Amino acid sequence: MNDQLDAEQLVYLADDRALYLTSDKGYKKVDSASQGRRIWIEKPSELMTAEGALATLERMIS
Amino acid sequence: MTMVFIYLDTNVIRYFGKAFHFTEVDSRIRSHIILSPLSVVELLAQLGGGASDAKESFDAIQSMWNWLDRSNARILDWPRTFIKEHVFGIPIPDGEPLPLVTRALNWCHQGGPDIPNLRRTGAEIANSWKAVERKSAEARRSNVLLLRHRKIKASRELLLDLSVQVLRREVGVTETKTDHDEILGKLKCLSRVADQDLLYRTSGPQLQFSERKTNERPVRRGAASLLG
Repeated sequence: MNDQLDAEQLVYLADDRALYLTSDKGYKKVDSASQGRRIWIEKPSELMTAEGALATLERMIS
Repeated sequence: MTMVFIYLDTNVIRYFGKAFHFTEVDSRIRSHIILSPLSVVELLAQLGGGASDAKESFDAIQSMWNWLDRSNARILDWPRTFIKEHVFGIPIPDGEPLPLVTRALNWCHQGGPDIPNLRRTGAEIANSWKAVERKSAEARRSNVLLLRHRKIKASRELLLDLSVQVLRREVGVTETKTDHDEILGKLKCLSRVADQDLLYRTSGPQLQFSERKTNERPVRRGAASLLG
């Protein structure tokens, strides 16, 4: 996470219902904030397959 | 039970383009996914770039057919204009980017005759994007951005410092009389707007964006035309 546009993505987390799915490990910088637990950082290899991506989405909404 | 919504960064949309190129996501899951305009703009900007990036971006956009809620596809509000208007009271000028974004998405899903326009639009967006990135570089040099926030623990500070304060600087407002709770309350409206604004609707198997109606199904072979 290294620019303003990445930071702007976080503004939606003002809504408690929002979950942000990313593969950018830079967001770990903000995981100490309470919104940080709603940032889901997954490996690209997991998200490039239907099985992996579906499993991730299921975990997020469960 | 609270209905969560999931928004994706640009790379994740690109990965979904591979994962869901031929696989349809269950409608129960689709209903939770909302587009972030920031991610979509970045994706569209790449349409005006090199052939490899353009094809990958186009495929990713086409794949939305398989993972967005076709009957109720939504896009979040544009944060800059929203914050400028609702937090700082600055009127939104003409040229707000969302209409351009939805128009380009229309073209992506329709393919065919509008591909040259799509590439031009992608190039336009890319130019705008470069201007934004220049601003980001300037902001980094002035040390107002993320690195100084890594130690922040308070929940409110994350949003205020990473978003509102950066934008405050961008719009030239040094102070705001609005308190933190009020700002957070306003930011929550960003997603309420999304609840009401439909990006596109469907009628049967056809994909129809709100700005433009078509009787054509999305055309996957459009990627070849795009690159031709």
